[in-house]
Amino acid sequence: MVIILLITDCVNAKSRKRPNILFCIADDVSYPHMGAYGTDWVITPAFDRVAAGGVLFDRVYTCNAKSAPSRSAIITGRNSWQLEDACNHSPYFPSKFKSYPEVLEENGYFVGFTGKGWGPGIAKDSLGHDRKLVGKAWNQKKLTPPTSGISNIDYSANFREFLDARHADEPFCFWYGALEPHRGYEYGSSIRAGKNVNDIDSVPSFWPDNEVVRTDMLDYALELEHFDKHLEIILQILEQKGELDNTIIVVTADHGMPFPRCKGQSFEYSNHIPFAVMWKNGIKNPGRTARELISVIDIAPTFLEIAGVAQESSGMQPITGVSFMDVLQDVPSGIVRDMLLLGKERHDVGRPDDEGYPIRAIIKGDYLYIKNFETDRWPAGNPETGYLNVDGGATKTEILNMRRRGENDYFWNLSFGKRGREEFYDILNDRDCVNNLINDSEYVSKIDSMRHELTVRLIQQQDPRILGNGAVFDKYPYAGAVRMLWNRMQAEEKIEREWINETDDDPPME
Amino acid sequence: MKTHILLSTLFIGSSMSAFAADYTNIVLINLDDVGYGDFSCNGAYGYTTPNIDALASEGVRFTHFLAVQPISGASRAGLLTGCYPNRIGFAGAPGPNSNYGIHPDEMTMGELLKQKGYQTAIFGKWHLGDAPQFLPLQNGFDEYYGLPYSNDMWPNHPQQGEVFNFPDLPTIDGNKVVGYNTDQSQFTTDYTSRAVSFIRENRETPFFVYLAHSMPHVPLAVSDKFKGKSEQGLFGDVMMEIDWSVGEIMKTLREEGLEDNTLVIITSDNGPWANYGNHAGSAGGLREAKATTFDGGNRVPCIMYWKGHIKPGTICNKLASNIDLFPTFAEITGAPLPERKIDGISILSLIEGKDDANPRESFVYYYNKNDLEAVTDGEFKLVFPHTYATYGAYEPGNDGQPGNLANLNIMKPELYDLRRDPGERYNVISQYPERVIKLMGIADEMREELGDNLTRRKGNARREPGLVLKQ
Repeated sequence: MVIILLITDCVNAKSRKRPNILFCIADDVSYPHMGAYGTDWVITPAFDRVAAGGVLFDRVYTCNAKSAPSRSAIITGRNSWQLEDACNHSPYFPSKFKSYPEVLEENGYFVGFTGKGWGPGIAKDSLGHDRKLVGKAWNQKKLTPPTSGISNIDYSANFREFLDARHADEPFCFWYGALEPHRGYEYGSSIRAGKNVNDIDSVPSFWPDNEVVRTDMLDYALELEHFDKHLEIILQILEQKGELDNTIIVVTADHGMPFPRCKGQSFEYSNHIPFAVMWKNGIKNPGRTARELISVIDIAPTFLEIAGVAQESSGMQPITGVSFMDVLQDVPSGIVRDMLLLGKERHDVGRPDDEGYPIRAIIKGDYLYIKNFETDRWPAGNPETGYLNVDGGATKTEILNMRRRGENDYFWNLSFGKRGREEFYDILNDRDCVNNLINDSEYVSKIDSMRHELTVRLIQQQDPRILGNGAVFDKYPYAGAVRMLWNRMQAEEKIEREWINETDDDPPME
Repeated sequence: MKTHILLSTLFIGSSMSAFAADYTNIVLINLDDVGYGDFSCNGAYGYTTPNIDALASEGVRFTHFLAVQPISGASRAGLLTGCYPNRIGFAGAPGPNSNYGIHPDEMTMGELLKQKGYQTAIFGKWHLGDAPQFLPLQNGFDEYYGLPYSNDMWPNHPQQGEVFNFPDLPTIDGNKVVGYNTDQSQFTTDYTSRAVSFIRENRETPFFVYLAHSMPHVPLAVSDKFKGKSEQGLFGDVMMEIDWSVGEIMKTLREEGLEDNTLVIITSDNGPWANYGNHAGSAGGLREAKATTFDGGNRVPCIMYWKGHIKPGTICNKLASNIDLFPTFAEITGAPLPERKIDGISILSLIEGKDDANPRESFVYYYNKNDLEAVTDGEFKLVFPHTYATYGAYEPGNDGQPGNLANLNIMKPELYDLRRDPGERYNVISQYPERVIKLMGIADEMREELGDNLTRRKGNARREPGLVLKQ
């Protein structure tokens, strides 16, 4: 009976011409760094077009501000702490967790990706075969990159190839994963391309405001614009093929920018990401801005709903996220979206025994409550291994050098120094999260209730960290070559750390 | 309501008419490896325990009574001191020539009652260390006859030579070894007759008898009186003899006119040793068995009889533990508690059947050296990630041979609603976050004091065990 129903469902879905799903994910972009949000030192006409023709989401967060865990959450619809090894960066992705692209492929979608899919990490099925968590790779087409920091993969050309390979009656599910604006950057490439440090309206208050930092920000902007350019071409291709109206296009990033105190932490600049959705056939009242709190775990259930696949029959582990179809369709659903959870465990290695920096946090309304579980550890990695959870770059070097020269350790403390057990921020008025209100008597009851809600919700989601078994996350092995880096460096082994600068190392500190 | 008043009146009447001794004797019968289901009144098959059942129907039967640890030595150390054994540095089951035992500064039940002039005796298994300074006579008991540790720690152990290398098993009288590898079929009879004699000798003075039967711990053995008498093989025979022993004690109390001022308690040190198959008891459907902190390991039968003080046929479903007997005895006898902190809580109110009493609001399940494996508030039980040896992976052995165990990992915390799931099968952790917070809070408080190796906590209130100094 169930089988018959399913088949009927499938046939019906096909006859309705199931929508195509295009997921466009830049690598490392913080909110509000898209033109549509009013940031005018980035030029992003394609993102802005998607927002203007659909819904611009103002409050979307990843649950975990690092590439692999964020992408794991996106494809499974589950929070990081519900994903075992895949809570960590560069994990062995557990075979039990199925991804939405895998499900859509089983359900008649033509599935593929270009650029960066899920990763870094290793994903195999229970028999040891490689999994294609976001479909087959389309990376053959190359271009000559405009700067040395930009990938030579021709994303849009590869998308065209992908579309050409598809049977005309097949719906597609494509993942456009740019490698930008991930570091490294070609320092000053933005200036050479005509940008000016005075274009930047303001520098986040947790960095020094100087030419080096501004240049670094503009180099980031330049790479982000590369992502946007290919998005623009992709939109044109869809239009040419007559598929634009029947394609839901989601444009976002995996997490915040690759700068100190952004990517890899749990602040506004870490987890708050740009997000816009266009879908001519599906979105009602386009041109809106949606202010609901949405987590990246809400993406997979939305796509399943659009594809007409029931979660129960998907073979996925139970999904925690909630489809935001009601927001797209602008219908009241009764779903309250005023709260979401953030957290992290191990990102990059660089602490003794590959321990992580465990955090759980909750955003409720306009407030962010953060709990740091292991305050003896270094939030961005140990000094002697070069603060490995902050990618090397001009801003990082600047902050490290300011401290070393004895000029200023305020910025260093904010980005690299140890933290207290709890933090509380008014993210409406303090987007930079530099004014910790945890001891402010005015917020006692607010803090209490958020602390409690965080605990309750994490218990409901069976988070080992909150249930006293958090050490399990430290024990999941790191899948890359730098496993146990701190221990090996202590033993004087030379290890290539290509994502930081050699000058990032500081002497060990207490 | 009327019936109740009538009953209470009868009660007072009966206790007033009784011989009015101003003290209460205590007979504590602690069985070895008897599971929750091993008395007829708890569902045993193939034999009956009429004397024990009679005490239950004339006294109180506890249904949620936990041995403090699911292993003999630690359970007995807890029972006799009123402490979580890890508080006093005690763990596991000390074997021959153990280098640790009860610390001289810890007050035992014997020492507690000596304060009030009780004559005290233990007949049977001690298991608080076998070095001379740890033996009963040095720790509050006037008389001792029995074994210093388990009856299978001897050269006839089925795994002697492969796994173990046990020396001869001493039987001790006072402080003197009076025999080695004694015929175990006489243990139950011998312990009983010595307890009977002790009661008769001390009929005029307050006394405390700790009758710690070695049976039905393997190797099972029974006297000719009960050989082949049950339909449940040797195990049933042994249980029948234990029941006979209880009958003998009760007969003696009645003959000596002591029934009205003697509290009799029957319980067990931990659950059944399930991998011994037909030589093991029954956990009564609870999960797992001895040496695990699932309730098959900790939850044991407990029956108390105290004429005139307990409403006949009382059933107590409230949480209690064998460490609660120590302070209960203190309250009954007026003996002062030790100055050092203990963990037991008097359950006199439960014995007396006070409806709204709930003296024990929580219990923590420690095991191994110092692992906090679970916590309960009497209704819910939160099980923390840990490794345990399951009985479920292999078929049990039979006829005195042990079956294999297999290690299992509890990977994630699990919450069981004991009210509808005493077998701990259905994890409901997502459904009761508030309860989880409460139970985690209780566990954290205990970790602060007693530590927890599973979460690498040291604890600030642990005391040292008695140690044998190396020469």
